[in-house]
Amino acid sequence: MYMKKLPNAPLQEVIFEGKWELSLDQQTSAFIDPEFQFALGKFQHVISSRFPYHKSKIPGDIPLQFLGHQPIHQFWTGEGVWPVIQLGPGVITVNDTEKNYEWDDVFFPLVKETLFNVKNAYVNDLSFISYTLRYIDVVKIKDYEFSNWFDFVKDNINFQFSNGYPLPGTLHNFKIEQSFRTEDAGLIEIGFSNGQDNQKEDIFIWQTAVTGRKPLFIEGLMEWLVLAHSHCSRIFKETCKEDFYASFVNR
Amino acid sequence: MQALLTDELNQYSTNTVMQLAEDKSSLIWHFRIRNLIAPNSTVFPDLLSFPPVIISFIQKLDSYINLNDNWDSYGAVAPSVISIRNARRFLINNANVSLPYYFISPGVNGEVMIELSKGRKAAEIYFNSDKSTELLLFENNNCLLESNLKDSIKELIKFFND
Repeated sequence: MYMKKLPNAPLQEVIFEGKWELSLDQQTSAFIDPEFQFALGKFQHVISSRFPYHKSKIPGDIPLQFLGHQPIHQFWTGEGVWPVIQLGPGVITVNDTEKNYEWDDVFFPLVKETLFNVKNAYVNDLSFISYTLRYIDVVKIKDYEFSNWFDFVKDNINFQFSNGYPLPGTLHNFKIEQSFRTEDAGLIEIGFSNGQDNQKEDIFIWQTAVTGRKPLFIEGLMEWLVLAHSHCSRIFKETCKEDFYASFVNR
Repeated sequence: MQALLTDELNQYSTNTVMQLAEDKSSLIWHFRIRNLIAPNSTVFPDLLSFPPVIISFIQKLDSYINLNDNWDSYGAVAPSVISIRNARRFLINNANVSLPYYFISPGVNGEVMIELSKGRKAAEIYFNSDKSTELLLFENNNCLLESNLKDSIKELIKFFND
């Protein structure tokens, strides 16, 4: 049976990030978003009822041109409550966590609405030159059998790694990243690493991200998003071994 | 005019500066890993932040763009784009390196000077219009080293972290 949402999904965060083209300021030779300040006001006004909690990420008054493609403003659903929208010169992100996440009825419509709100806030059509859909999944290793990282990855993920030389000690940290170029959606990145969560518990982290760089207007971006999601969704299922995947359904 | 502010922050995602330890047999790594596990994440810590002193310096630095010739009423040359850009790159690259940033100012010949100071020790770094740099290390007002950043960045870090 098709499940819209895994009951115990390991999703830590899903991020959509879109960057549009900046303009070259002749006076300073800087790439800037000339409409940003004006658009910010319009954008904030439209989303303020749903995202009333505003937080500035940057202390002080750094010149905006220095922060091209860096989110400056966060708009939270409530204090510490996701989803969150981030806006900066030339960049918009939508961030959510497992608690709310569901693609068809929640996240995708939110990204779509956000992008159209951005479009409406700007006078000129935005040409997106980079866009990423990223999933970060995390499990605590204490919830699984664990003897070492090599076996943990081999037992749970359809991927394995080994050193072809004597180990100089116990594997303490690892971070494996691969990227694959696709014809349709752009670059697919898959990464596996270990880490600790904020309770200092050991965790296994895996990320799946799709990044496109072909210039697109918002309508094209919507189509790309659907495609990117289908890649991420498929890859998630394909990377997880059967029992590991089952733990997100049954645990 | 050359591009001044077009460097993407991602270019500075990893910054590693190596310093030889006292006995020169081991390496102490002064490093900042902006490990972009999730750029623009709201769950993972914000790794794009700079220490307040760096932000303050960059703000001042960017304001130098507006200075014209004779900005000091004594015939000083306006800070050059190259000087500003290279000073800015240095600050971003070394934002989290353990250095006692103290003062930043434009110079009379179009250069930018960053001063570092800790107790009896001080350093001056000049970012010149011709792309060159000068590094001077002082202790008790005596100049101990006259060099440039490229050749002596390790000495600079070691000087303030001994």
